[in-house]
Parts: sequence; structure tokens; C-alpha cells
Amino acid sequence: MAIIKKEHLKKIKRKANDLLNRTLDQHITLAVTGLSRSGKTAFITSLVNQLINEGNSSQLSFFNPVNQGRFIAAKRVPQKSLHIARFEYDTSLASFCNEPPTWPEATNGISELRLAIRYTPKGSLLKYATDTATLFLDITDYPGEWLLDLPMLNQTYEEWSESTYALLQGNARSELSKPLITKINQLDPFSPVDEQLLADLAKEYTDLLHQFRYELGLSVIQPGRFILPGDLADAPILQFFPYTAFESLDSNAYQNAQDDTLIGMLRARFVEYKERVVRQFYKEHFVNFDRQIVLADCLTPLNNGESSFNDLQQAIGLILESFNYGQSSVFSRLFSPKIDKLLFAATKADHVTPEQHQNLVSLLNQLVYKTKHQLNYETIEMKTLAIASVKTTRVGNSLHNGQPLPVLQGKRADNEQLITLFPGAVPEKLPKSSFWDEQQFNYIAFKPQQVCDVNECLPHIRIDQAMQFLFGDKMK
Amino acid sequence: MINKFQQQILFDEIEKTPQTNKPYTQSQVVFENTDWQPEAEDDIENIQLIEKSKPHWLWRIALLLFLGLVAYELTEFFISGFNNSPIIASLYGILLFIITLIFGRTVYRELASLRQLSKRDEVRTKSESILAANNKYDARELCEKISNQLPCDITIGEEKTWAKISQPEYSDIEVVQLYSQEILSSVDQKALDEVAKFSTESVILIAISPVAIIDMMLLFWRNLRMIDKVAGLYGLKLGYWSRIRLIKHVFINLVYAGASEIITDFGADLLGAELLGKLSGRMAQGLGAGMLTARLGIKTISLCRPIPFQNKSPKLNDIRKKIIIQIKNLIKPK
Repeated sequence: MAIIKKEHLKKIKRKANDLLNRTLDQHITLAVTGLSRSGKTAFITSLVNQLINEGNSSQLSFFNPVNQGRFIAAKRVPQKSLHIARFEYDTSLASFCNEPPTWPEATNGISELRLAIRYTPKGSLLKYATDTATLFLDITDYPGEWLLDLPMLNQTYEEWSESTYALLQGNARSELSKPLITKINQLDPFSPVDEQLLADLAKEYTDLLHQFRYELGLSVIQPGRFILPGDLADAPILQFFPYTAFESLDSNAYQNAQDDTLIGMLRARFVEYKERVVRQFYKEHFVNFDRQIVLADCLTPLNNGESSFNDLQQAIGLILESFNYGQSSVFSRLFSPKIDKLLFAATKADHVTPEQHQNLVSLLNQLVYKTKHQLNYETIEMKTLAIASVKTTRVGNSLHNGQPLPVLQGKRADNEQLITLFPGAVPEKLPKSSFWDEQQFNYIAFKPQQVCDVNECLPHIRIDQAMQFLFGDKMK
Repeated sequence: MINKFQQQILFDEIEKTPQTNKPYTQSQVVFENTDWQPEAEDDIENIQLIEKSKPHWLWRIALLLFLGLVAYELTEFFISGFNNSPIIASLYGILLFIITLIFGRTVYRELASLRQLSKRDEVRTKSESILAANNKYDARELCEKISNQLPCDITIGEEKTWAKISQPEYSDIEVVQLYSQEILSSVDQKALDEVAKFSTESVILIAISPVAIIDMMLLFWRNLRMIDKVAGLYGLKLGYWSRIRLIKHVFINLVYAGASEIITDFGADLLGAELLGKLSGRMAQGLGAGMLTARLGIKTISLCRPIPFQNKSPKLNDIRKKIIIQIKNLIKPK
């Protein structure tokens, strides 16, 4: 009789194998962000959908693991951080599968989803250890507006009020913000605090930000949590506003103001917001991200005109500051983030004809040009792409004045009519101000056209290239 | 319409004026802005024209005289022949006719295959220029052209796949990349298998052949067959001269291969050969010859491929693995 039974040996072997596999599994955190309505939800839905339904009429030719036949399968698994909201994949996908299909509800706040991707390793050392490897992909979705708050960390309440006041006085904003500024100027900063008054004014400021964002199409919204509060809605920490009359304020008296005065309370809440909200986000989430995709909708700001587009440019500059960390920067010393790949994606590429994609990319390239240089220096790999998470149009050709012209056909978002058109060219360079006088953009918004089955892949443009850049290198 | 941001006037052809160092006028001339024409680029065609210089005039006169004399002799021969013995002369006439026919057909075939080869070069430069983001050529048209040239048993299956995966939204670069990795990769696989097969044959034949001269002849024969087969897989039918041109090309490429390439290739080879050499001197010799065949094969592949490899060109290592597996299977006692 053998001392060790054969079955036991097998069991031990299997266990050892499992253990080895588990230690060899890889994790990667992919962060998806972008200003609101830039298509984050659609992007994540499409990405997950493509991976889960791979093999069922999927179009992932530029995603190497699929292309080389090493992709086995992907599935959703319970997420790691239980205190973060789950990304509602099923509801989002359902909206594409409804009759008629619609765009999914926008998410506000941070949410997470975890995918396990099985594949056959080939290039890396892993191939000597196992036949199949698993990549855990944590997808985190958070509003790009939150990144706009980063510069606040370096500002005092006084500095922030002044810069915001200057912003409110700017061309695009001055008209709408006048009533609020007058109200704030009438306040007595050293009077004892009236919570209700503070809440009302903060509400008014928040409404103003909403107007800026959704009516004027502006992008620089500070503080970002005001319009996308997440779980902090109605908390006193979000009830403050810039004090606009610092010039007439005695700085000594301001310094000595107690927290129970109006100005003192505003200052206290600002400091608390910085510490509790802004810093917390970077500490808790941002430092864990490995890869980042920033989605930007360049077409809507072009539609809205010069001020809106310039605002987008400024907002992207502010967002990029979060990634612009070198060894010397204060930001890096505070949080030590580790993002090593950054993808900039111009969404809604299906809203213009294919030969304009190149222009869309070069336009976005110019928006991020400055930072790109610095990031290259910091060896963060960066790329720009024109993508469409869910393709809503068909490409074709037509004749215009006897000349062939590429055209799109799709369902208009506003009246659901089918329309065939050449939507107009995309400027290749940042438009000069003289340009806006003679040129008006009018890109039509489209709705998803085809009803999609739950087990089918959504039609897309270049999601596979985005995947390849973001995590293809981890699946060698 | 599309290009309203760069007002660009497209002309059908670039007029070429004789270029002299000095402009023919000294005074200032102002043109209409629309008269501006881009400078003519040095096309590949121009370079090729220079290469194909005409033979020396003495040679040409000699050739002309020779042809004239042959024609004269021929007519003279037939005139006197028909007078003296018409039957013999008519037999000669038939013989001449048949020989001309055979010769003409051969010449035609040779010329056709040579043209095919230079067309392939053209396709390669076109696809290279598309990959370098020059918007001079239509990528979809080019890919269709390549598909038409590939042997039909490959294209039938691939055409369907291609129709499925190529989307109208793709840019020219993406189309060429996609075609290269989706359609041509299957051809590459077949060609690599073929190269591995021939290399294994070389290894075995050299290992068992007793005389050096037989080695050389065997190697020569197998390599020629391999070049033919690989070229055939990529849709090139080789004639005598086109084969010589291709082989010349392959050898030039082998000679000018970068030092690093040689070191990586041969470093690995020598290691393999040395290991095997401990087992058997013959086998080591065979493996060396096999590696040469494999190298030749890989070069042929990369010269015949209509779209150049972008980043993952086949390595000698891939083939060596295949050879070793095949040999192992051969030696293994059943």
C-alpha cells in the first residue's frame, strides 16, 4: 500500500496549480472620465459589451489578443471595493436594446465594475507558468468635473474667490451671474452666520453652474461637486460660494474672523471641501488608477460657438493638470499617482464623415498639445483617438452639384426622423476668433438606430484600438 | 466642400518644365495665387528610369546590323531553297515557324512574369506610402487589387472575412494594417510552413548525403523549388528571368542584412548547431544548411509580400522551432 495515495497527490497538485494561477493573475484599474455628457456611460457599456460578447459578431480586429486568437472569454465578477456604487451595466445596455433604442441614463458620481478576462499568454514570462491567465479589469467611472477641482488644493479661500470672480466676470458668464454677485456684495461678511441664507445662496450658485453647463455648454465648472454631488447632495460641505467683494474687505479683519461669522463659515467650508472632498478623492481613488481614458466631446462645444469651445480648452487644461505630475511636483509628493498610459478620445466620431476623423484627432491633439510634451517627458504614454462607443450612423456616398460627397445617414436625436447629410467639416486646427464670425457649426445629434440584442455586440468605431492601447499590453 | 479649410486646387498632372539652375527671367514676376503648383516629387518611377539606361550606341548599331543580316540570310536561304528543293525548304519553313512560336511564347511568358514582379514592387511602394500616411492612393482599391492577385483557393474564404471586418469608417492606414494582419497573415502562415518543410528536407538530405557535390546540388534544387512555391503562394508566377531577378534581390538582401540581424539569427543558429554537433557532425552540417534555406525562405517571403511587414516580421527562430519539431518526429522511434 502506498503511503501517499495517487488521488491525494493529484489533489495537492491541483491545489498548487490553483495557487500559482492566483498569484499570477494580473490586476489593472482603468479609469474612465470626461466632462458630463461626453459619453462615459456609453463607452463603458460598449467596452464591457464587446468583451463579454466577444465572438458573437464582434469587431475587435485591432485588439491583439482577439486578433491573435488568444482571447478566451470575459465575464463580470463582483467588484473589489464594496462601498462604491456599481456601474449599472444591465440598465445601460437595456436602453440600447429597447424599442426604440435610446442613450443610457447618465451616471453621476463614481461607480465601478469588474471584469475577469481569460486569455492565453504568449509573449510574457507567464507562458512558462500557465496555459491560461486571467486579467482582472477594474473599470472606474468618475465625472471629469471632479478633476477640475485640483487647482483648488493650492488656493486659499481668498485666492479661489478672486479667480472665480474673474471667471464670472468673463464674457460668457457675466450676464447670468450678475444677480448673484449683487446679492453677495450686499452681505455683511462679519455678521453672525445665517445657515438658511447660506444654503439659499449656495443653491443659487449651484443653479448658476447648472445653467453654465447645460444651457451655455461651458466646461469650466468649479467646484465640480456642486453639479455632480454624488452622495454629498445637500450636505453643508457643499454649501458655500465665492465671496466677490474681497477688495472692500479689511484683510486683517478677515484673517481674524471667527468661524461663526458669515465669511468665517464660508472659509471653513471651503477648507473642509478641499480636505474632505478634493483631497479625499485623489487619495482614495486617483492614486489607484493604472490607466486612464479621458473622453471629450469636441463637436458640441463647436456647435455652441467660440466661448464654449475656449472653455473646453481651458477645462481640458485643468483636467490635464491632474496627470501632469513629475517628481518635483507638489501633487506627486502628496499622492504619488501611478497612471502610466493616458488615452484621449474624441467621442461621437460617428457624427461626422470618416475622412473627418483625422481632423477630429488633430483638433484634440492641439487641445492637449502642451501637456503631451510634458507627459512624454515624464514617460507617461499618451495617445489620441477618434472613437464612437456606439455607432449610430451609416456611411455612404451621394452626389452634390455633380460631385461625389461622403454622407451619413442616421436618426436625429431631437425629432427621431431619418436624415441623410454631410454634417460639415471639422476644423483641423484650433479655430481663430476671426474664424467664428464666418463659420457656424451645426453638427446634428443622433440616436442609436439599430435595436441591439443583449447577446450581440454593439456597433462601434475604434473601441478595439482604445482597448489595445489601454490594456492590450497586459495581455501579452 | 470637404476641404473648405484648406483651399486647395487639384490638378490632373504636374507639368514638368525643364529645370535649369537659372530662371529665364531676371525681373520680378507676380503670379496669381491659384497658379501655385507643388514641386514635383522624385517618384520611384523616375529613379527606375535612370537605372534602366539604354545600351551604348555601338552595341545598338551592332545589334541592328546583326538582325538585318539574319533577315537577309533567311530570305536568301528560302529563295534559293525553294528553287532547288522545295520540299526540304518547306520543312525548314515549318521548323522555323514552330521555333518562332515556341520562342515567342517563352518571351511573352518571361515578359509577363517580369511585369508581374515589377507590379508587385509598385504595390509595395504604394502600401508603404499609405502606411506612411500619404493620402495619395486609395487603400481599399489597393487591397482589392492584391486580393485579385492571390491564388484563388486562399481568396475565396478570405473575401468573406474581409467583407465582414472592413468597415467604411476605417482610415486608409487602418485598412492596410487590417488587410495585412487579417488576410495576408494566413498566407504568411502557409508560406512559413512551406519554408519549414523545405528547410527540414535540406537538413535531412544534407545529413544523409555522402558526397559534398551532391549536397550542393540538392541544396540548390530544393532552394529553387522553395522560392518558386513561396512566390506562388503570394500570387507570383515566376519565369526564368523573373526568378533570376528575384533570387538576385533575395541574395542582395541577404548580404546587406543588418549586422544585428545576422548576429541574432546566427547566434541562435550556432547554439543550436553546436548542441547538435555534439550529437552528430553530420546533423550539425545539415542543420546549418537548413538554416540557410530558412533564411532564404524568410527573405523571399518578405520580398514577395505585397504589404511589407510592420513590426512582427517572421524570425528565424520561429522556423527553427518548427524544423526541430519535425526532425524530432522523424527520428522518434515509432
